[in-house]
Amino acid sequence: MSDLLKEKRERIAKTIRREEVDKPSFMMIADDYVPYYVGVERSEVTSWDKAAEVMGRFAEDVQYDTHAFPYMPANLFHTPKLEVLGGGTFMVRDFLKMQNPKEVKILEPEEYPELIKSPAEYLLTKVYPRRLKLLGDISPEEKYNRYMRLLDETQKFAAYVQNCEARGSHEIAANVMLAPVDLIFDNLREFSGIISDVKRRPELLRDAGLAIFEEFKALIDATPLAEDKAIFFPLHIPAFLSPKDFEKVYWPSFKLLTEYLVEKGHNVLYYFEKNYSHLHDFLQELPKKGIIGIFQEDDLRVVKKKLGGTMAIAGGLSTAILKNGTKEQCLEHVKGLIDDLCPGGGYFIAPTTPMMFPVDGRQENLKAVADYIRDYSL
Amino acid sequence: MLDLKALTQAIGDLNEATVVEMVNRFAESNPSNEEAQKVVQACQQGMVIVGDLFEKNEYFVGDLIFAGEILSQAIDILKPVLGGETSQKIGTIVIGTVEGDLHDIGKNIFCGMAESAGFEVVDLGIDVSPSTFVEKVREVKPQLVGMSGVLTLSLDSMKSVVDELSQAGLRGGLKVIIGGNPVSADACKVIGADAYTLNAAEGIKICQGWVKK
Repeated sequence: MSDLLKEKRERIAKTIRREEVDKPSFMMIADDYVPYYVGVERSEVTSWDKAAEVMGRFAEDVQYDTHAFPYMPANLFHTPKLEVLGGGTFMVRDFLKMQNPKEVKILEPEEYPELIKSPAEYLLTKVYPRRLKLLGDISPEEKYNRYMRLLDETQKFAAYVQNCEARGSHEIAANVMLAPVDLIFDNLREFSGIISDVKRRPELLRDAGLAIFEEFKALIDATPLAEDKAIFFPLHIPAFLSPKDFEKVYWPSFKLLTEYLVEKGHNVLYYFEKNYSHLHDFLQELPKKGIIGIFQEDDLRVVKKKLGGTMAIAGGLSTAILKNGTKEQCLEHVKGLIDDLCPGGGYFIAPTTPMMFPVDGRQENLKAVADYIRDYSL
Repeated sequence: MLDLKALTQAIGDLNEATVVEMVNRFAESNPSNEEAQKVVQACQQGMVIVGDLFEKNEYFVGDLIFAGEILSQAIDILKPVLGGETSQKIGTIVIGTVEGDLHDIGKNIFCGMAESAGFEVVDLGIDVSPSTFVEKVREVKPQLVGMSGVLTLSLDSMKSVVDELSQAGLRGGLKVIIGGNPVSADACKVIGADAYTLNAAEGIKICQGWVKK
């Protein structure tokens, strides 16, 4: 391990523990923006080796401490999986992934009691076969071949992540999971379905979340522990729920999940998508260690005040300023973040939105900000 | 005749059972079309309460969606009474999620609220190309165009729509509003839209302001 990577790992671990560090911690969140930044067309990234090379160039130039999740070229990550699984909720077009809401709703509300009884079994034998050919009525040979290919794709991705790290891009996510009720939302019920459940059958939705959590335990136990890594959860539905509905349907399994993760020694990286200011009081009740919260729309200064005693926080670097501001405005912006949020520890400077497209920031502005952070001493 | 104030309040309170029960009872009483129109208006007033509570952060997106569902149920029950007659529209809006983006939640909420506010809504769906916007605007001659998107990429698509509307000579007299996660004052200026909003209820008020002028 290079001295620089070792130094970064120590800084990340300290920031997760909410200790003060020598210089601001910088967490990059960039997906398809990565090839754009280094001047490579998405269509040119046709192998995992090429993707790792692109990530390495990005890491070398931007010099972030860690990356929330690596660049995942849709044609390498999603296309083969869609073929092998024989379906999915994403589609790929022009080398970009797009979520297809029409493919999401595959569970009917009257099925909740069966789902609650045995979530994994019911999903794998009854529900997912509606979407995935792999789980459907195909010959044993075809099934075997598809599973082998799936394993192969999974191994390729794991090797890619290692390759990214070897090239200087520390990847903080040890695993990516969905919170139980978000799994139901994202994979089974879609927006109108889940809102209908929240309002019409909240107890069933809550209990399904609790039952899924129980079956998550084995998966959590199998994830290796590391003080500079975290299990990454993008959180989706809570931002759209009132505190009352959140408490009723989402909070029970979410609280237990968090407590279990932390008790087992894991760090957790929660991506609080959209605005969570109406739910801060709940979040204050989470365990006081092992949590990093990336906040997309919340005022980070308020978050630090209210939740800084509970979790490390990340965010604040406005992609709108990176796109529309001058270099001086960008530096003034990042200096304000450092001045206000770094004292006391527990803060990662991170973009407010995952950087996907050129509109998410001008390269020269990102570079200026990155250099400023690199050279800054606290 | 139904207690219209109670119906309005039941919608405002998101009390689905009460709304359905009241409107069913009303529909079974062999009402006139005129009475049915008043019930529709009472429902629309309920949606105004919902919009206000949303703006005050007392209701959230989930509540808006559920309110829309309750309203749809009420209108479905009233349809046989209303017959083919619908209340007078205050304006027409052509709306869609722009090309490259498949998100439809925000658009659907806006559509539902626009309909309940009295707009004729022409919903083009998701991933709508600039040429489809142009063709539909040419065909239905709306007062307003609404464009929605969640991905930052959608800002480029929104600009393409405005540019193509201008090139087709359809921009004059047409009001354009953009909505969704990535929109901002800066984006609005670059795109050449007339207004932007992150909030469906606010968007409706902007549109109402335009057609009232």
